[in-house]
Amino acid sequence: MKSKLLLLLMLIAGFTSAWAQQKTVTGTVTDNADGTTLPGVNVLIQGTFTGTVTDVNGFYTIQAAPDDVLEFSFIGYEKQEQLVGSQSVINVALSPVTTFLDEVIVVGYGQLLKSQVVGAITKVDGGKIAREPVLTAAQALQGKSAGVQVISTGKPGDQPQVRVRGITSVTADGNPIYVVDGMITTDITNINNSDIQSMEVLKDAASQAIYGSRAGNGVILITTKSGKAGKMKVNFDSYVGFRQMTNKVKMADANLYANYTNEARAYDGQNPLFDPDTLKYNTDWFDEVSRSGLMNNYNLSISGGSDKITYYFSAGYFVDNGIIEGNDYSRYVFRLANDFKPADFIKLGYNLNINVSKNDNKPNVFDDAYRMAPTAPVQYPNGDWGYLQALSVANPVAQLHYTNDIFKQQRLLGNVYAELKPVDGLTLRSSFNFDRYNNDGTNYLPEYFIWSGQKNDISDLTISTGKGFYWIFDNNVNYTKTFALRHQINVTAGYSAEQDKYSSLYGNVKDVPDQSNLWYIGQGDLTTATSGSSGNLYTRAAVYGRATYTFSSRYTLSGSLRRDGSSNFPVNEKWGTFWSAGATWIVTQESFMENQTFFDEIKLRGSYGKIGQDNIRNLGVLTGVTILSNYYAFGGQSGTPQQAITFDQIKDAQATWEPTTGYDIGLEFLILNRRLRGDIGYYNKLSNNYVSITLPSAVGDADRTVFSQAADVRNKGVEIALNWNDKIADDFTYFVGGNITFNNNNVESVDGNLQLRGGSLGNGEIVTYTVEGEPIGSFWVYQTEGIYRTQEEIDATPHFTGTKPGDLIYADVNGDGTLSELDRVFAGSYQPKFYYGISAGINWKQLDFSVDCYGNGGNKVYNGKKGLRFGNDNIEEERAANRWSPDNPNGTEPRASNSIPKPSTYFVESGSFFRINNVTLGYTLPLTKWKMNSLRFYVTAQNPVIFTNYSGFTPELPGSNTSSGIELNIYPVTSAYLFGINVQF
Amino acid sequence: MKKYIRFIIVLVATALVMGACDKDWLDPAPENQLVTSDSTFADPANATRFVNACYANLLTWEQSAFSWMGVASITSDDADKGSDPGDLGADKDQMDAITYTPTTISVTEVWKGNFQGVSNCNQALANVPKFDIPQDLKNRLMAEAKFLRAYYYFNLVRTYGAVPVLDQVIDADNPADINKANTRVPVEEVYAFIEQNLNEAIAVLPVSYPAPELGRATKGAAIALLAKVSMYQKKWQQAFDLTNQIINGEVGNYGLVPDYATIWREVGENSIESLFEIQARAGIPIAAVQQYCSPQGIRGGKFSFVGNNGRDTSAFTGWGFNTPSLDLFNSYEPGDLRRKATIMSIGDTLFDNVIIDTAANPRYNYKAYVSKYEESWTGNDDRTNKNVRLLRMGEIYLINAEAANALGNTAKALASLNAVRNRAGLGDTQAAGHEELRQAIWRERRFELAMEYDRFYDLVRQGRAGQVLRAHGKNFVDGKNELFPIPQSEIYASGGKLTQNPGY
Repeated sequence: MKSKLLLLLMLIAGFTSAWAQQKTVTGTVTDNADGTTLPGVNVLIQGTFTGTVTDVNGFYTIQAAPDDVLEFSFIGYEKQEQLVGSQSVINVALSPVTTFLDEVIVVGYGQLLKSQVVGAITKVDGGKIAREPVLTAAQALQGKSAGVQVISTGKPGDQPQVRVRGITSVTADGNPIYVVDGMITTDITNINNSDIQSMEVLKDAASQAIYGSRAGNGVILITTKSGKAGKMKVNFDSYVGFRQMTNKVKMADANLYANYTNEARAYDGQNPLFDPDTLKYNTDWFDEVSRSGLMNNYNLSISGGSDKITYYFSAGYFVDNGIIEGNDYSRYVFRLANDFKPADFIKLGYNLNINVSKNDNKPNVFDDAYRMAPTAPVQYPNGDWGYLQALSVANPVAQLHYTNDIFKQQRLLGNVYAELKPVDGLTLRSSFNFDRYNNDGTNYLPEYFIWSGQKNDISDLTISTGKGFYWIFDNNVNYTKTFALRHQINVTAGYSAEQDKYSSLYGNVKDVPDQSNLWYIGQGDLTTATSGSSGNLYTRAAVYGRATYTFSSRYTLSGSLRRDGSSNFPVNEKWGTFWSAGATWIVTQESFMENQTFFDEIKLRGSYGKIGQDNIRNLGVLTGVTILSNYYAFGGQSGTPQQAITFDQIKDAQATWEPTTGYDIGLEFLILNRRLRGDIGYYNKLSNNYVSITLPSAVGDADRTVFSQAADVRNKGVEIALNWNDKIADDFTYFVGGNITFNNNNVESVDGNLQLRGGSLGNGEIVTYTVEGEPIGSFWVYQTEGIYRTQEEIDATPHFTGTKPGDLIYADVNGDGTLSELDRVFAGSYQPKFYYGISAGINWKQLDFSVDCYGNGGNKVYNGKKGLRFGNDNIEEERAANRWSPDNPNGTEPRASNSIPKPSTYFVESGSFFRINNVTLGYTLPLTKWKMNSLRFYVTAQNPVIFTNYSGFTPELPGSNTSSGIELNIYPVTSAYLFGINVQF
Repeated sequence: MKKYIRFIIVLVATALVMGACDKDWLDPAPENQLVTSDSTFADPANATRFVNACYANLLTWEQSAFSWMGVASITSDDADKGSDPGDLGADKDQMDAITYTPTTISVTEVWKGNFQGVSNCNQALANVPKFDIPQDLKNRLMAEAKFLRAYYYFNLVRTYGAVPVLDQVIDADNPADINKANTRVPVEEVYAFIEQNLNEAIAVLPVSYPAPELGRATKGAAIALLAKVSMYQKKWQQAFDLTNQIINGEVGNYGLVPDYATIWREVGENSIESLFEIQARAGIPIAAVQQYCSPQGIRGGKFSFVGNNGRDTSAFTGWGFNTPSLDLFNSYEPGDLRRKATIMSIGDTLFDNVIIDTAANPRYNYKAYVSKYEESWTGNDDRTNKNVRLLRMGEIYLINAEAANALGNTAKALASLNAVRNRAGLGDTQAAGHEELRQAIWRERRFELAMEYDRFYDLVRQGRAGQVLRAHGKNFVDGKNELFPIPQSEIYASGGKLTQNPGY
């Protein structure tokens, strides 16, 4: 009742003011930060409904009385009030909000103010992404958002693995989807980081539900830059530098290796392989296969526009040469975006991202370099490649030399759209989003002979091409309106249809000359030619909507719904419904908070929802006939081989979505004179997962695998993000910030008797096991208790056959007197208990300095390459030097041995690490000439230092959900040192 | 406002159209996949293709390559692991030493390969009747599938003892079927199932095929396998009768080829010696055993050519596993032509005039050698033209001899044994008396079938595996190693229902 009275009074006030003496007031509204004019700013006479909006040049005209107060408000800017008084020209410069509650957040199919966002969303400004000298925005995100774990390799052209709030799926891919200006993709290597305006990470069901079935692993929205009306802006940015191996594992030298190997062979009654006194070579294979890789990047962007048309153009060229010899990656990206406004109520436009990339792939030779004998040379003096017959390891340098594996991609990603605003507050939008790509591969292996274990008898050429077209036709309507000043609604509803089609073709032929201009099928022996093709087609359809209601800028209720259909599933299981509901409360808007000064802004949020995932590949939903790859040669050498078909895949007819349900609660605040902002959240979600069930061979499924929705996995955790910004003087500001995420992943239940073993080492041993009560993919190994020193000790305890003094002692955990798989113990998981990012920076006069760090803790790593060991391989120096032997009875490491070790805690190491991701020092020239706005030089060190106890190359080890954190043949994350320049006109 | 109405109408209309076609929209025909609703059963040629899959399984890595070599050959006293001491070939050291466990890869893959074969046979038997083809052809195709099902089961029962017996396609949604797949049935019942399959096959299979179908299972092949199966069960009369039928030419034109050395060469393919062999052809499309020869190929090495004065030449090489043991080499009687035909040693001149100057191991399996010069060689070492001889006359004679001896028909036993010996360039046996003759036949089997993946099973069958293999330095434990362990992964997959063999 009280509020109605107030409303009435205001109406009367508005009415009366209309009668006061009116005059024309004009002015221009600009952005305080960069001086550009701001179109679309609301100019309102306080206490009335009278108002106007600035035009495309930021200009407005309004009739107002001298005692009127003009309110200038615009999303993303602080509201400003001006008394009209005697002025007839009022120019206003709006400051971008330093607060977050009025910050504009991009959400699925729209935008909302942060105060209205009921879910957990982290917004990362494009500037922070572009600053990192990395290929993908996913990599640049590392450490910048709570709840986002980024696991990378150093391989050029690679996109890192991203895990949003833990691992929700056992068998499906765990990466989030990226929505680039409305186009859904999983591969963003084609997006130039400099073109990114902002990234929003949707972390909980409330924010993800509008993407329904695609959202199970999280959603990352990428909004690219577009032109703004006003003067043309030109930006040029470039850096040049090189990258290096961060960490090298110290291997035994030739002498130590020879002694170790001879000793290992002696235990097995074999003759010595080497005479340690006459070794001719001492090769450091890591040095031989690696190099300092060149890295450089050039970006140019031009943007601007008028009230009818805006434009954005950019061109980027990025070269990243890996630390493996010959492993070169280059990428060109062009972006074109135009918006046209033929009339006030119509907007048309397009956004095109054109990408051409080339990758010279090389085999990951780190494993072979690790194992190869240092006694063998790269090449003998006569030019022949070095090798050691006693070892099943290829000469890694020769391997690089003979590999010609070139992958090229051309890709066009973008959209065209039309927007119609028939009435105030109503927007109809229709867009066609597409992703078209062509992949071309050429793989040529020349004829060569090093020895019978490393040779290629006849040259071989494979040419492959793949092309895909994925489109989404999306139509939606948005209605945003404020009723009676305090009831604000924002409703979005739409539908979309999508089709994802891929096809590929390859041809292979033998006996092709070793000249790259002759790498064509016709140059080979056509009687050996083979070809093949494959393809797939997925379709989806969806209706979706979201309604948000805000009362008095204080309380917001929001709900979203998506009904999704997917061709991935059988007829009766195609459709799924996903939804969420949530609320926010802006505590600082309450009257009881008016008199305190400690809190500037406080927001509480809470939500609950259900999302799904349809990205479950290999689900067989049809009874397909398998054409066997083997024909059968009836009729002898002159006959015609005959095709063979059978049914060898058991189908999972009930296959459908993997649902995740969960809630999120959070506190977002700005305190201490707007200097400290924070976001603290708690989440808890349960995913019902498909898992692969290994079938007995007798059932007749060729890969022995069917999928069953038979495991529940819970992720719960706490996220804390704090950022402190302060100004000491006008020319001295600094910031310190950080975020940390504690995640607990737990398999709540696994139906039946599933055997989710994984983590194969490739030598017949597996090291992970997914069971109830442990995280997905926990290490499951024998427990070691030091090494045997005497035969008596061996005889007194259960041991494996062939155990000798100096071997590891494996604990008979269950005490049954023998060693068996039942004695394996859970030895931690690759999933960190917590991960964190820290960043800090100073701007002092013309200098700027910043540091970004990233780390994680509580995770374990399986040093697989150490535990792989085939006979006569090289060995790590520390292990060889400290080995037990009858002559070194106090040796701490196991004896020299050529047998495959059991998977054990000996190889499980801490995966905790803390890394400085980026250190940058910049200097901006105060420029007035050459029409430059600014000129900045900077030096950057990327990943210069890592602190870790892990003894391998890198503790960052991507992998599938049940087999991660195992180092077998990783391309380790590398360090880079760069010099850069940035010019703005 | 009016002008927007049209736009809205179009939008709404589009929405309705989209909504209306949703049902088909989400149900596209799967790309590049034949499904049962397609024309699978309309094309009569597909009936034969279902049966071809029973044969094609013989070409797989699991079925006939590295793991099978580990289980059936390296375990024996005829073969060593070979290769370089440090190169274990995943587990071949364990196979050689007989220290394998339920997790050993070779043991796991042999199980998988043979059961996949059984499954392909069951699929063929279930699907062939659905085609509209002549009844005669249907019967013959099903008889071929039964022969191969028997072959796979013979491997399984020799290797693992009691195994699940599956006489039809398993419905994974039917608990009774799954239970059947997880229940081992006694060895006698497995043998009974094998015999039943073979007898049904014998009744139908033709004596021979027209040339384009050469290589399909014949009546002779089924009789030969049944004879061998009978021998394993000591059903001597049956073994004797069946082998007599073959030797007497009642079921086709079979006999010993004069030159033993040609048996495993391309020139010896599908000869009168052969009752059944895996057909392999190098080249395109893939129709050869995946890596039968390359794992056994000469490792390292330098070669020259007769008459080229020691200049380097190339020869078929490989990984050097499964090398003939020194014991085998030394055991041949003087003058036995089979030694040179079975074992190639450093310094030897091969039939294609290649001289082995050096190599990593002293001896290699000549029966797995492919000539780059005298045979069809396409440059692909992993898929060679090598036909794997599974049942041949040399063995038929020896089964006949062993059965005759067991039945007291010494004259026949001697005749059959001497036929084999004479072909090998040896004189008649000096053995006399039932036991001495039996020992002579067993010894003859060793040389006649050396490196043909028979010896380990033969020793177990003869009941002297422990004695012979321990003397050879292997860890054979009586009462345990007569059978291989049931793969641990299969026990897990069965939910623990499959039981383990004793001692593992």
